[in-house]
Amino acid sequence: MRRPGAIAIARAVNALFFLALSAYCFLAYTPFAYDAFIKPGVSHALWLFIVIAPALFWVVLLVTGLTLMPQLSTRRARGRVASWAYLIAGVAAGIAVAERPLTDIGNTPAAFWLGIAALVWPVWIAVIDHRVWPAPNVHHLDPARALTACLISAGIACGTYASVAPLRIGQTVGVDLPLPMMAAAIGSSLVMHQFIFVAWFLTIMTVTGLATAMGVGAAAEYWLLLVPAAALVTMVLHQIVWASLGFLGPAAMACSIALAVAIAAVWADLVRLRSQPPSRRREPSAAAGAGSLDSLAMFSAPVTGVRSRAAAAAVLIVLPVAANAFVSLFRELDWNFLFQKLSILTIWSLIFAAVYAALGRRPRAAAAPRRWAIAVPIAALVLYQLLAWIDPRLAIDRYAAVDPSMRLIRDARTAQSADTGKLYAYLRSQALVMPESVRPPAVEFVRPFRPATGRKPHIFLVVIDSLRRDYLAPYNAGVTFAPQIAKLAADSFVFEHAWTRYAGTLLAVPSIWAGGMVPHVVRQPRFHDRNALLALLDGNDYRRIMDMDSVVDTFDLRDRRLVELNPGREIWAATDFCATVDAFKRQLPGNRSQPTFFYSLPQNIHPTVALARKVPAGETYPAGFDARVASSLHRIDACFGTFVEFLKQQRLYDDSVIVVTSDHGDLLGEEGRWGHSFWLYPDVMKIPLIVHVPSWLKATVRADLDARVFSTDITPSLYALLGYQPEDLGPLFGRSFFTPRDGDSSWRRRDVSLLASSYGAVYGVLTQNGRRLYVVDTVDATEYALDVTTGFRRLPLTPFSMSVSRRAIADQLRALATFFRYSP
Amino acid sequence: MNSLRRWIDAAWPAALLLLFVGAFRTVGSDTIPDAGTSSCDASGSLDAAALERCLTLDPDNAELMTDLGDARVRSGDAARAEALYRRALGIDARDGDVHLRLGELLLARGDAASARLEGAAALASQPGSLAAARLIERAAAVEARR
Repeated sequence: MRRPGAIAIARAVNALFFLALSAYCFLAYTPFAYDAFIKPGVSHALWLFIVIAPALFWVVLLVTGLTLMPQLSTRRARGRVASWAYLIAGVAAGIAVAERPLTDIGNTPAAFWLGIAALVWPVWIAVIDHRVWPAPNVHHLDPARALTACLISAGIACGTYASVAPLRIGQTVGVDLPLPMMAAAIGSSLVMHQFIFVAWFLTIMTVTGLATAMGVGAAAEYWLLLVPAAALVTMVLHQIVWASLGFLGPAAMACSIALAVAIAAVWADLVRLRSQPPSRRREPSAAAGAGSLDSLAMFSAPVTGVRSRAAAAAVLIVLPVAANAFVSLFRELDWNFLFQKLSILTIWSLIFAAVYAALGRRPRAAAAPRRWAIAVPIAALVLYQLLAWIDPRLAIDRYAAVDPSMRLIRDARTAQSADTGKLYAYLRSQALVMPESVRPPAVEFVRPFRPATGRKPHIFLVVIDSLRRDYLAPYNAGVTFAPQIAKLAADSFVFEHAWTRYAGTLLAVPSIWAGGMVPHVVRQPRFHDRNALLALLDGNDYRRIMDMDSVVDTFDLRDRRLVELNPGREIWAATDFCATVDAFKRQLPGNRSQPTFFYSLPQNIHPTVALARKVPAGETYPAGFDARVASSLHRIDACFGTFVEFLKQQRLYDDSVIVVTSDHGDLLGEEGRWGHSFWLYPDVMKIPLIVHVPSWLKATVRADLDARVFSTDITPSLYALLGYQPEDLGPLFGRSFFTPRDGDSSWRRRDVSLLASSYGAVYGVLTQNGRRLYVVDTVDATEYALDVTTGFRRLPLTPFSMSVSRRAIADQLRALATFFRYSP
Repeated sequence: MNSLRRWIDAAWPAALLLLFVGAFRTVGSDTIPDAGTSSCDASGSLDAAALERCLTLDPDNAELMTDLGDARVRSGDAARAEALYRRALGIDARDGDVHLRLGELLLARGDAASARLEGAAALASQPGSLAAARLIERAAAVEARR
C-alpha cells in the first residue's frame, strides 16, 4: 500500500485504539475511577470496549501490518527491520492479551504499566513512518497569515457555540438570560476568545522567534511547534482530566506526559503522511515534491491536508455542526463537563488548523509589517482588561450555562489568593485519602451491645439511586406518576428536610450503613468494625435478603444470614427494582420467626440507565419533569406497589419498618448540569425520606418532620425503634430522628453540618435547618452560597459567610481526620 | 550584532505572552474577615446583645430570631419575643419548636385559642410530641373554664 492518505487513516485507527486502551488502563489504575465506574460497570460502552479489546488488537495489528507490507516484503526497504520487529512484538502481545483478559486487570500497578506499554505502539509506528516517508520541504511560517487565522478562528469558535445558545436556553433549567444580558455575554465571549487565540498566536511567534534566534531551519521550527502543543496536552490531561477523576500526584503527571508524548508522536506521524506530495508515481524513498510548505501549514496538515483550500473550507462548514452535535449528544452523560471541555479544545484546534489552511499562501508583499503583529495583541489585551474591569459576572455566569466554550474560559480564569490556595490545598489533602493512611476505630452506637429484648420489626430499606425528592408526590404536588410511593407516604413519616452527607453513591451508601460520615476513601478500610447497621442486624439475628451491588459487596456480608437476590449480575446498572421484587417474592422464606432485613439499591433512575431509556408510546408526563426519569420512576413505582401489596398479603406490612430514600439526587439540566459529579447542589443533596413504622411502634415515638435530618440518621433511628438508646457520637455521626414522646430535637435546626462530594475535594456546610448551603469546590476552584428555600437562588458571598463557612468546613474535616486517625 | 538582533526579535512575542498569561486569571474577592464575627456560630450560648448583633449580620436567620425571642422571654419582654417568634415563623412556618414557644407565650398571656392553634401546628410538624399535646390540652382546659 503506497497511498499515504489511506495509511494516515490506518494510523489514526491504530492511535485511537491504543490511546483508548492506555486511557482505560490509567483509569483502572486510579482507585476512584476504578471503583466508581469500572468495577460496577457503570459505563456499558467502557465495559464492552475492554471485553472486545483483545479482538480489536488483532484487527488493528492486521490493518497496520497491511500498511507495512512494502517494508516487510522488500529486501532493502527503509524501516524493514523496525517493521518486522513491530509485527513480531505485536503477535507476542496479542497472544499475551488473549491469555490474560484485560477485564481482570483491576486496580493494580500492572494497569499503570500496561497503560504506558500501550502507548509504545503508536510511537513505534510513528518512528517507522518517519523513516519510511520523506520529510517535505518546509519554509518559515508567515506571521500575518497566522495572526489573521487566529483572529478569524476566535470569531468562528465564539460563533459556533453562540449561534445555538438561544436554543439551549430553552433546554436549560433555571437560566434567565434577557436579550441585553445575552448580547453583553456574547460580546464578552468574543473578547475572551480573541484573547485566547491571540495568546496562541504569541506562542507560535515565540517558537518561531526562538527558531530564528537559534539559527535553525524551518523544519526545526515545525518540530518546536510540537513542544508547546505537547505541553498543552499534558496540562489539559493533568489539570482537567485527571483532576476531575481525583487522580493527582506524580503518577498522574507521568500518565499525562506519556499520553501527551504519544499524542504528539501520532500527530507528527499524521503530519508526515498527510504532507506527502500528490505525485502519482510516489515512492516512499523518493524525495518530497518540489512544493514547499510553511511550518505551520505542515503542523496543521492532519486536519485538512496541504493541497486543498476547498477541503479546509468544507471542514469549517462541518465543524460548528459537529461541535454542537457532540455537546447535545454527551451533555447528559458528561462528568463535570469533562467531555465537553475536551471537545471544545479539540474544536478550537481544528478550527485554527482549517482557517490557516483555508487562508492559503499569501504573496510576500501582502505580509503585514511587524507593527501589526504587536499592535493587535496589545489591543486584545487592552480589551480583555477592560472587560475584567467592567466585570459582567452575572451575564457571563448565566451565559456560561448555555455556551460550553465560554464556560471553559470562565472556569480557567479563576485563580485564588494565597489564603484561598492554602485552604484548598488542605481540603484536597482530605479527599480520596489512601486507605493505608487511615486507622479507623470501631464505631458502636450501643455499648455493651445486647440483643433487643422487645418485639423486632422487619426492616425494608430501599435506597433508589439518584432519586430526586421533587419527583415524589409527598414533596411535589405536581407529581402524578408515582402513586404507589405516595400511598405509602400517606401512612408514614415524611421528612421534609432530609439530606445526604455525600453527593455520590461511593460514600453515601457506606455512610447510611455506618450511621455517620466515613473517611474520604474509595474503599472503606475495616468497615466491618464500623458497620453499625450490620451490627444491629446480626446482633438481633436478622435474615438479610439483599441485592448485592458493588458497594455493599465490599461490606463483608456474605455469610449464612444472607439471601442474595438476583446473583450473578455483571454490571451494576442491571439492578432493576422490578426484578428485585420478583426475586424477593420467590425467595422470601416461609419461616417468619426470624426477623427479615431487605435491602436494595435500584439503578432504574440513575442517569446512565434512565436517560438511555425510551419513554413508552402513549406515556406523557407533566412539563418540568424529565420524561425519561419520570417514566422510569413510574415503572418501578408500580413494582413498589406490588411489593407493598405482597407484604400486606404476607401479613408483614403492619410489622415492618419500611424506609424509602435515595443515596443522592441528581441534576437534570439545571444550569446546563447533568448528573451529580462534584456538585453539592440542593437537587443533588436533598433526598426523599419516607419511613413507615408499625402502629405499635408509632405510638411510642415523636419525630420532627420539619427539622433537618440526614440519611446517616437512618441507622441510629433503627436502633431506637428496636428499643436501644443510641449514643450521640458527635456532629459527624447520625442521631435517631425518632425521640421519646417528650424528647427534644431543637439542636437539629442549629447544627452546622458537613457535606462532601464522594469524588473530590468539594465540601459544603449546611446551616439554619438546611436553608443555607455554602460550598467550597476545589475541583472547579469556586465557592457558592445557596438559599435552599427558594430552590436555586445564589446568595452573594460576603466576607462573613465565607469566613464562617470555610472555618466550619476545615474544623469538621479536622475532627473527621482525628476521629478516623489519618494524617494525609 | 545580527545574532543579538535576532534574540531581541524573538523576545517581544515571549514578553507579550507573559503579559497575557499574567492578565488571564482573576483572583476572586476572598477577603478574610475579622474573627469576631465567628461567635455567631454558637448562637445558643450568646447573650441578647450578641444575638442582636448577629441578627444584623444575618437578618434571615430564623434560629437566631428564636434564640433572641427566648432571651426576650427571659428578660420579660413578651411583646418583643412574640414579634421575633412570628418573624421566625415567617421564614420557617413549620418550625414546631417555635410554634410551641409562641403557644406557651400566648397561653401565659391568656390567649388560649391562639395557643391551641399553635399547639396543633407544632403537633403537625412533630407528630407524637408530648409537649405539643400537653399545650393543646392546657389551652383547651383554659378555654373550657371560660
